[in-house]
Parts: sequence; C-alpha cells; structure tokens
Amino acid sequence: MTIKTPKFQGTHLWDRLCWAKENLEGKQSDYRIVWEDPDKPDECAKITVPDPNWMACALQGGILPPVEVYWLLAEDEAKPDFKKHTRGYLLHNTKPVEAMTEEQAIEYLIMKDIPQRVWRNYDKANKPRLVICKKDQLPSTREWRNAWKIDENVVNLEEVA
Amino acid sequence: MANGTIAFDTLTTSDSVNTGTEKSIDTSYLFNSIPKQWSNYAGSGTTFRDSFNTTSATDNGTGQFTITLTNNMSTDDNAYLYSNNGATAQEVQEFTTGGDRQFAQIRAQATGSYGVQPIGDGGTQQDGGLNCSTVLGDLA
Repeated sequence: MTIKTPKFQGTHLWDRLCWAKENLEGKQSDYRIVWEDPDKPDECAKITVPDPNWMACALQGGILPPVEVYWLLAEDEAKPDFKKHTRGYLLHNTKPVEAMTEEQAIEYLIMKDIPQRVWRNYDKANKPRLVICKKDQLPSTREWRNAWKIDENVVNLEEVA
Repeated sequence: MANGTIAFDTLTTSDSVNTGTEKSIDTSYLFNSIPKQWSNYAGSGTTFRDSFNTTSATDNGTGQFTITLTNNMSTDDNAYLYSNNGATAQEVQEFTTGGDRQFAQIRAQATGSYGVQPIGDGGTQQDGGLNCSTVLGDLA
C-alpha cells in the first residue's frame, strides 16, 4: 500500500525523519559513488554509500529539503566567524523536493555529500574522478584498499576500481 | 489512522497514582538529551544495517569513514559516541581478552558530517564488522 506523505513544509526536518522511520521501509541501494579528490591526488578512491532510510525518504518525496539548502548552510559554516547555524529554518521551511527516482537520488546525494570541486565539471577532467556504479562492480575483497584508484580507461563500467 | 499532533510540556509517570507522589519531567529535557543521529554499519563494504538521520557513509580507505547527517547539527561541538568490533562480520561474540579489539577516533567534525577512524590492537587503522556511532547535541 502506498502511504501518502503529510504536508511537511514548515515541519521540522527531524520530525519528518521520525515520521519516515515509522512509516517507510528502508531501501538498500545497489548504487555506489566512487570518487577521487582532485585536491588530494595521492589519496585512494573513496566510495560513498547511500543510507537506506534516507533513500526511502528520497523515493517517497515531500520529506527532504532541496539540496541547495545544504549548500547555503555549508557557506555559513565556511565563514571564519561561524559559531552556530542561524539559518537552520531553511531545512524546515523550504518546500521539500518531490519524489525522486533512485538515480535522481544518487545525483542529489553527490551534490549534497561530495565536495563540489569533485563533481563540478567532472566530465571535463583529464582523468575520471567520479563514477556511479553498482556494488558488484567494485572489487570483491578489500585487498590493497588504500591503493584503489578509478581505472583511467573506465568506459563500460565493468571494472571500476 | 489519521495523523495528528499532541502538544504537551511535561510527562507524568503512571505510578504517581499508586505512590501519591507526582513525578514529572519537562519534555524538553528528553529532547535535549536523546541522540540526534545514529548508525550501525559494516566497515568492510560500508553497508548500513540501520540508522537514523543519516544520509550516507563514505569509505575513505581502510579504517576511515565519513558519516553525513540529513538534519545538520547546530554546531560542531557535539558529543560523539562510538563503539565497534574488529571482527570481519557482525556476530555475537563471547567475552574474550584477546583479538578483535578496537578503539576509534572522531575526525573532521562539522555540522553535517563527521569522520571515524577505527584503530586495532596493533595501532593501525582497521575496518570493523560492527561500527556504531551516535551524535548528541542540538539540531540546526
């Protein structure tokens, strides 16, 4: 049975997450985001995994704030005199985003949780630095984990790291 | 069942009828003292078992993880609690004095994320089969 999301604009985001925890079933995503930080070229590839309860919220719609809200909070936090957030209301009062597909949710997640220097113009870099793949395309063991890099010849995504 | 709102400022214990003593607590005490984010995940493969107020985990390499929050904290001056098990999988283990011991350091705290660095007996970073983290503090 499909459950309808209450009208949540103006409701504290925390309360929305409480509602989601009670009413939505978590969705384990098979997608993984593999990325390298251009500012730290010696570091290994990083792998970001979406949280199942968060993914359920994204698929449901009407719960999560627009990703731009997180950018505004990040701007505030980057200021040298930052002490505490004074614009937290943006999380709660901005109109929530509509239901996303799993692929759209992954794009949202990239823009929320991965530094902008990684994903802005990622396709214009002289080597791949961001790849979305399926879990089973990653190495099956963690041997030499700290040496993992994105394959520079990655084209068909059969072998990513 | 229809959704509704119950607004109240205090909770009164049910045994006050029996004891004749009124015992109550301001609900703000409860809210201020409960965890605002928690997660249980496997380090190797970084798979969430369950969580609350969590957006993602990033595997930054062996024994280095970043957890991000959906509802940011107000500041980065929060209390971070962490427990883990160095075993390769989550399993119910008997009490031992031997292997699979780990401790962890919290790194790179921000209002919307924090890093976790599990370290094993030998002093090197390790993934863990069972990683549990919690944040207490004020929400943005």
